[in-house]
Amino acid sequence: MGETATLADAWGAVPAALVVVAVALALGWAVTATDRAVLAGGGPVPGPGRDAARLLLEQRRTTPAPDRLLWRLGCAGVAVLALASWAVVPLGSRSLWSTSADLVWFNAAEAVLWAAVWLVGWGPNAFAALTGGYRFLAQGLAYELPLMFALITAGLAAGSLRTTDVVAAQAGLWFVVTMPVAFVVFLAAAAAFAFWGPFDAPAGTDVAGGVTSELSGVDRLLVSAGRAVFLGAAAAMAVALFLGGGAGPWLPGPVWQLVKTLAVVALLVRAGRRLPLLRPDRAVEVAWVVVIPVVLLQALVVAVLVLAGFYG
Amino acid sequence: MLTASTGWLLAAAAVLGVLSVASGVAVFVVDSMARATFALLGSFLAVAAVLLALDLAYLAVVTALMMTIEMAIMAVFMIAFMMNPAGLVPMSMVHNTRGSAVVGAGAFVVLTAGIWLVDWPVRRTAVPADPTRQLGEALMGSHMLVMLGIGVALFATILAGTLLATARGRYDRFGPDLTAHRPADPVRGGLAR
Amino acid sequence: MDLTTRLRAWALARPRVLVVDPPGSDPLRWAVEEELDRRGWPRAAVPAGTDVLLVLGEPGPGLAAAVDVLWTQVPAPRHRARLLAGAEVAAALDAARAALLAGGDADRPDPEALLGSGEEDGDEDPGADDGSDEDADEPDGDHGGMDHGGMDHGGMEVAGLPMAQTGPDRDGLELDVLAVSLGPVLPAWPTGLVLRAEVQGDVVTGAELSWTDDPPQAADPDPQRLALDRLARLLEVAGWPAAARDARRARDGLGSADPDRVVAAGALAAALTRRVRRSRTLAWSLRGAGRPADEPGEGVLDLVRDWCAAATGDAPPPAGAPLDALAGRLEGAELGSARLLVAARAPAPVPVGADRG
Repeated sequence: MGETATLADAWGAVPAALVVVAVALALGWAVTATDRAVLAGGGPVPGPGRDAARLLLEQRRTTPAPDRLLWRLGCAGVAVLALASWAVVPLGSRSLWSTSADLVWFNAAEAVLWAAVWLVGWGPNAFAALTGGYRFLAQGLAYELPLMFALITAGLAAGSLRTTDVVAAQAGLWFVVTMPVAFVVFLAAAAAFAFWGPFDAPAGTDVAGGVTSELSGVDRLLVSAGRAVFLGAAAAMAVALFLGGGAGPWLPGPVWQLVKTLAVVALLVRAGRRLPLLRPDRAVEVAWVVVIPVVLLQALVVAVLVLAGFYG
Repeated sequence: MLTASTGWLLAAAAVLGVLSVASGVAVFVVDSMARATFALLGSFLAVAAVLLALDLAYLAVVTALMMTIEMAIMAVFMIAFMMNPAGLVPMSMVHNTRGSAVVGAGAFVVLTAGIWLVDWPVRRTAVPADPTRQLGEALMGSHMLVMLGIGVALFATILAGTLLATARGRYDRFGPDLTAHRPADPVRGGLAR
Repeated sequence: MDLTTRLRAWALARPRVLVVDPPGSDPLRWAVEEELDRRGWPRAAVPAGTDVLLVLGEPGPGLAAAVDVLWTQVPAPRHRARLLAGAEVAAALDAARAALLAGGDADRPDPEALLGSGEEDGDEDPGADDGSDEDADEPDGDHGGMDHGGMDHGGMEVAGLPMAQTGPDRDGLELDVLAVSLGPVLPAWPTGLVLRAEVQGDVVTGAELSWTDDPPQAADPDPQRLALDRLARLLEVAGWPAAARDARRARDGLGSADPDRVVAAGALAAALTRRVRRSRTLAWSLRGAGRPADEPGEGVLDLVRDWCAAATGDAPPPAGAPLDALAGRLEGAELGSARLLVAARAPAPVPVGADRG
């Protein structure tokens, strides 16, 4: 069993939560800035901070006969749930909050996020937004199970669903060595849940921005920030689950963790932006028919290794 | 025997319980399918939070996870293909009011009576360090057969339901001799099958 | 300058610009987009995400009316500007930003009045954008974004909006049919083109295409630059923004007076088209799009390759499809495929009412 004390125990609940939110926002900023830098291809990069300030100045949009309650709930929910998924991501050797079901918490946060994004599409009572919302439901359904199995595979090898235990279990060997498929599937499914890059169809140009098409002002800020924060959380989680967390020579753990997380972000953004959109009517079938069996096979391999005593 | 922290948790559980009931009532009060679906989800999430307050983390998050997915799928089937965004036409969420009221009230009375009348066992051992592990061992150990049976039955039900519901079978897709190279689907999937 | 003003100036230093380019104003739009890219000002996709609405050239009466409706949908702070051919682009953009900083334009006409429908929405926030996204009856009142347009709705109305009717779908079920208008201003869309469609879910079941105005007399731009522009638009709809950016860059470079830049742009165009043609992911993603399974003919993927050939100057740009033929192809297509088909077919502007069977 690894460290069980949480950041909240160590620093008090409120300061620890503030630190985690600050880290989440900073990494979300880094994700957006990297993404824009790659997209600008050497041109000037519009800064995410400036965007946030401008959106705060902007009027909020309404449409005729919206379901305003659900719309606003959805917008706020995207940001809140992205932050909530950070609660179990270890910073250093401790996370803000730790239970014996951390990995399921992460998964649950992103399932509720899924419902929230649909609300963002449903609320404004507009065709493009609703189409985007339904595209996201189909996409989320297809990538939910691969993501779940990828998470479970890491927990299986560690013999615990607690993220700090998973990090501790990688003292000898990083999990990415024995579960490369789970690592790749985890990042791809996380990108699909943030509907980013090649999984951008719910907010695609062909539906005029889809779920985001009717958003302005603080609503647009909440949704964009939520997407970026969730991608950042996924990158940090990938480091904790597959890349040994803060393990590494010479440098202190948190520095290693930061370096690795930024490297994963850079890798994810560069790889994702090299690809065109994977149109959902084609990609979703692959997710169901190929990806799910492959991740299950990966889990089986890991299970056999566990039984053989490979992970100690 | 109540410590301060368990007192707070009990209070939280009570408030969340009321919230879940209120949210459940809201399902039948609102007049849009989307709101009814998400009121029901709110009720489930409140139940999950009750479990969390009782320190059953795994059951809590699994409830939230499963119910959210279920409600989202329900939203698809209830609202999908209904192209009036935002449920513009107000529609009643209740049918057969009298009958369902009787059934609902009856079930509530039976269950509540059960809660108060059953002689609940008292814990004699210490609180387990890891309730998740304990739950896993119970499910995968002595109750393995039951769980497997339920799992297979559920899976068979899903398959049977899909088979009964679909209008197009493999003979429609691949021709009467199943010899067509490519299925006659309105939209081609990603595997070029 | 006090702190608030400075913060505001910082926040609005790179406004998002929604460019409305009437048919025939391609070279002017290219100049604007080049300047926007040089400054790092984002291009807005929808009115909800717009700070500056920039109308190029001389829009015809139909498009001008649509832009008026579009303008009601832009959240404050906002500014509306016009740019005529031959004007200084950089100076116009600077002026637009200055006007935005000075407070923008406060006037907000009632969209209902613009659309010629007298019904009021009761539940709008008085202070917020009370833009009606819907047009009830007036065919020329469609605007950017995708809207519910009433074609011949004889059914229910709720809050002044026509409700969907049911109709048979391709699987033999009865599903809701909604009438929507796409255009005339949409991202990566031929401005001025309006698609009146009936949709079931995201499947187009009825389609009718028309232009808002008669085409102006305009000189044809350089075919290679035009091909690169259309390719950029197609890649944008196909969801490949990095490749679309390269296509725009090559297009801008080819129009430069500097011979070195022209050579570099030619090389960029060659590299880009090679990448697009060889991309297995794009081929996989687009295969089958816009081509019914049992019908031979050019799918979107073949057209992408045609545009690539034209973009390197090896072939003339593919001819634009007649509107009726294109509309026929859209029926039965999923919305994304329909958008791809319109971008790949790049219909040429024709007089209103012509080109009909």
